[in-house]
Amino acid sequence: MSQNAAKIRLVDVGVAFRPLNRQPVIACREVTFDVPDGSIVSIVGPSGCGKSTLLNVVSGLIAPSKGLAEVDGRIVSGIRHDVGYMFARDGMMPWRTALQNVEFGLEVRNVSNRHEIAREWLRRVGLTSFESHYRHELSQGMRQRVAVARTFAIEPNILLMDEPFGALDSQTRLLLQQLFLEVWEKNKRTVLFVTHDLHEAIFLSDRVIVSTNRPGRVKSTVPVALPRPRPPPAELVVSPEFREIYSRIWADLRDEVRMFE
Amino acid sequence: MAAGSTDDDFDTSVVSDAKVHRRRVLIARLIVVAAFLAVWQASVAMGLIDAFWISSPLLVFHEFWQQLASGDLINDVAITISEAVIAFVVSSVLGVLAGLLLARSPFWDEVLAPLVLALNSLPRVALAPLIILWFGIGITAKVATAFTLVFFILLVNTLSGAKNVDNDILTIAKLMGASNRDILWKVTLPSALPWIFAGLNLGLTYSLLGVIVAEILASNHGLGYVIASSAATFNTAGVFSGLITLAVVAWLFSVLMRKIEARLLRWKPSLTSA
Repeated sequence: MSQNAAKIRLVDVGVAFRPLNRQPVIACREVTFDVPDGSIVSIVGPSGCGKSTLLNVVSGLIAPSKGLAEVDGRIVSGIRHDVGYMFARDGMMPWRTALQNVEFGLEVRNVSNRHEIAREWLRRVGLTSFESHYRHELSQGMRQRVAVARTFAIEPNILLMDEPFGALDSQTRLLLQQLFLEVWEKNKRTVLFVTHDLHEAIFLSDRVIVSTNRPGRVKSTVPVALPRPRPPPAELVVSPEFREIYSRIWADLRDEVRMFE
Repeated sequence: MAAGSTDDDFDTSVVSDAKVHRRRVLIARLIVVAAFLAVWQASVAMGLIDAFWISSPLLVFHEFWQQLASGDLINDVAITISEAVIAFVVSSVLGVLAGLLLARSPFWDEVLAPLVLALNSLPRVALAPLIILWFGIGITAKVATAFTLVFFILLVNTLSGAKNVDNDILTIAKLMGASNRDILWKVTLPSALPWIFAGLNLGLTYSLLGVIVAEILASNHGLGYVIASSAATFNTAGVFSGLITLAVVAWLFSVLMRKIEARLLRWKPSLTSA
């Protein structure tokens, strides 16, 4: 597997929403970038710049008004069933236990040993003793761990993550970012990650795409040449390399965010 | 933390306090009932109220015992319960299915919504005379009367439940490869279950209501008939005896329903923590 081959590719993607009886809203336009196979690419940008929209285009949940998205060199048309999708809300089914939630994806794919697979994933995210707990019996951090396990359990072809740790307190967020990387290191799935947290973007990614204000466009692409596996965040943030990348991204992002003030 | 371990040195006196409290409530409840019956009986004995119209606890008990001993009461209760259960099951199953079906088709939902609303707003016991005209005085008329009440309750509740499925869960389920059928049985139905149960609780009461109304209007069996025929012969004790039996039946129904609900909805925080 070549690191350079594009797993996900967006070509001149534009998305316009036409709310009933109102002016159309252009979420993003002329978006072109690649996500190389086995890498993590983050998109950062001001809120409302169409970051989530791009994930929806890649997953096939919405069709672009212009341009196209490709996965494995084939144009996305219709909902894909090979993506792992995570967002800030855990999306747990409250009527299923933690284990049954992880099993869901395997169940609809008729995987016979789903029970063992789901248990193994819950173990990896440290929730073995919470298998039979329901959503309301778990903390927000635990719910998001279940979401991580559920996402990886189906061995998705690609991962689309929409601020998956955004609703967590900052300590839990750090722990889950590390957990996510640990899990990711084992199979190196291709990840397209959306966040507004620059630390998170740099800590996780091989490449950070800075988006402009709405309508979102690619403003710049900043490579993150930090070693993998990544050192713990506490060490990383004080390294000169990290700071340099951080200031480069912030320099690009600052003007876009400022327009809101 | 949500971990379920309890340490041995935890103070568990709170638990026994709850037990004592429950016993106290139960005793107080019995006292209230006994006091009511005593005042009633005493008022009749002192001639404050006329036993002919109001009866008395002893007369009611006597009547109840006679009906029970003759086997008539058991027979009437069995008829009313079976009618109500049949009506409840048929109407609920069809109501839930219709609700799920409409939830899948926004077009037909929009077409039928005002019609369902109009039918649902109609006081449907008013249909009972017509139904009796059509179906006679047998079990079909009772089931049909109850059906007109219960079917719409379940339809409306299931529909609102099915429309309220969490969008995040739907998105995730679809992206994980769930088919339309998976979505219906594994997402929409369980997600709508709290709404459906609210409908079932109401539906059980209403199926009893529908059956009783039809029995009162035209029948020669069942608790509704017992009440109506007792009243027609100025046997107030018989009316009360029938009413009390009916109350017990209704109470048993709702206890059973609550047990089933607690089992099926144990994932709901409000039910498990109670």
